Amino acid sequence: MITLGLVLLLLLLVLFGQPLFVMIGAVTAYCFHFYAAEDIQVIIGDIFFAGDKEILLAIPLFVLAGNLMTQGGIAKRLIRLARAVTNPIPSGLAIAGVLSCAIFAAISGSSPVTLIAIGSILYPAFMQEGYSKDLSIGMLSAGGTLGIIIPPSIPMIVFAIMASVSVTDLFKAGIGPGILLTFLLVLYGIFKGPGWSARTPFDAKEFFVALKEGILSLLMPVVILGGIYSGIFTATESAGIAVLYALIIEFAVHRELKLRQIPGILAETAEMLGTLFLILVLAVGLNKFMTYQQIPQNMVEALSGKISDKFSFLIGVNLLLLLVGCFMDIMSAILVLAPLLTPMAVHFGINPIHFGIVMIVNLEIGYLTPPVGINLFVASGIFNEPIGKVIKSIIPLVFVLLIGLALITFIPQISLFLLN
Amino acid sequence: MIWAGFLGSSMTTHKGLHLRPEIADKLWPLKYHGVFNTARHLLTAAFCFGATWYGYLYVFESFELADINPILNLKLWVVQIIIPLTFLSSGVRALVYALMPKLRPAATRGSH
Repeated sequence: MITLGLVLLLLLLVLFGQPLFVMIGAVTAYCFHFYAAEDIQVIIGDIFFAGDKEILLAIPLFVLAGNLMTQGGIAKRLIRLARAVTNPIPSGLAIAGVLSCAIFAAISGSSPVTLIAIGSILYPAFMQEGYSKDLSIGMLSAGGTLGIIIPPSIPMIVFAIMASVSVTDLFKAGIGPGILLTFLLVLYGIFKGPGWSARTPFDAKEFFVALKEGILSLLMPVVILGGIYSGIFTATESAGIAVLYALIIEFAVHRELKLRQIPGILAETAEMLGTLFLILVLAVGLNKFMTYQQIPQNMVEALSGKISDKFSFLIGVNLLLLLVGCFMDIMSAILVLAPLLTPMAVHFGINPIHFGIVMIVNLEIGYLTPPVGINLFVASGIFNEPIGKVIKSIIPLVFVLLIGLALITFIPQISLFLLN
Repeated sequence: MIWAGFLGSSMTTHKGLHLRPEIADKLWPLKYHGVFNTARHLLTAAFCFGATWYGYLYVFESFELADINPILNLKLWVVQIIIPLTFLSSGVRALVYALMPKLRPAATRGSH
């Protein structure tokens, strides 16, 4: 009867289009009251202690650093440098597009922002150099998704909180898969692009000018990740360093950021934090309830009878996550599924850090799959093409990313080599 | 951090940017969208007012116990008070949006 009540409550909340924080909060309150006979007031205590976690501070700081860095002409500088390097290579522009997306995404931490910033500049250049519309839209949209797998990544921080694993380890584990996926997209671009016909000779002068202009932006992820990997600072400290670095670069060096822009940037950051904060702290309460009730352990036991080995589990979980990625946004999916699936993965002998990376790559592909893939809608808007055309252009790239996902899933060393 | 998170959440409510599954928007026939949106905001308001009440009880307990935050050397209830205040503010906003459709933020307005 209590379970029926829970199902009805969930149906009611979905039917009346409630915000996710209301859904998670109401379900948590129901579970605490009816299953655990606990006072609902306890949840407020959980919210307070969850909100007090140091690692949460990394989220607004990384978002702020990304917002500060992307106010000026960073996209143009990165593209100029990438083009100077890749011009002599066959289909160099496609490579420049993917590399610019990868680096910009690492700095901004946002897939849609990357697609808008890089895509809107490079799409006309793709057309000019004879790339097909399908290839151009597909490459730029897929390149935009690299942001969440290349650290620093907000979804990685959220996964670390929900699955109680080290953010630093997750950041280290993201670098291999990030390089692999970038490489696969570059490879696809080389094979499908116009090849040698679009090649121009290497211009050393242009390269050095572009390098001089772009080096400081390019160094931001290097400073952050270098500091984390070498153990000089923690993930949260690195987020603070990133803000400081961005302020110095944009105010003192590039001089593209004006003081009057700061309130707007802070408000934008607070709003982004606001969309995530309540859901996150309430989900921590629900997670605590599930742990007390041993729900993940019970699910592991129930599943053990049906799935006998690691291989079958990984295939099943990939299919589930790809399906989930079609219907849920990445943060919601991590908040709901990470605490449930991670103990199962550990039970089947999978390293939880490796599992986190597999989960994030799956959900990254969700950015490109209908009906809720956000990059599809962004691409449709900036390239001025119907959504059907965008989906058609992206299908081959989704297959490329699926090949990457399979490699990342079944070769754990791609993720774990820096940890070992 | 708690203050920043809750204040951010309040701004998100103001702009109607809270994440929510939008499947229900398509399930309801267009002629019932007015009723749907009013009921939606009323339900959100009910949740927020409930959370405000429990938040108040929690903060009041801290106030009575006179707990101190050891890092900031502040009374704990001063740090915690943002919890019921944010839920109260979000609840009032949701109630206003339920009763006055024209004031709803564009992102959550739908058809009314």
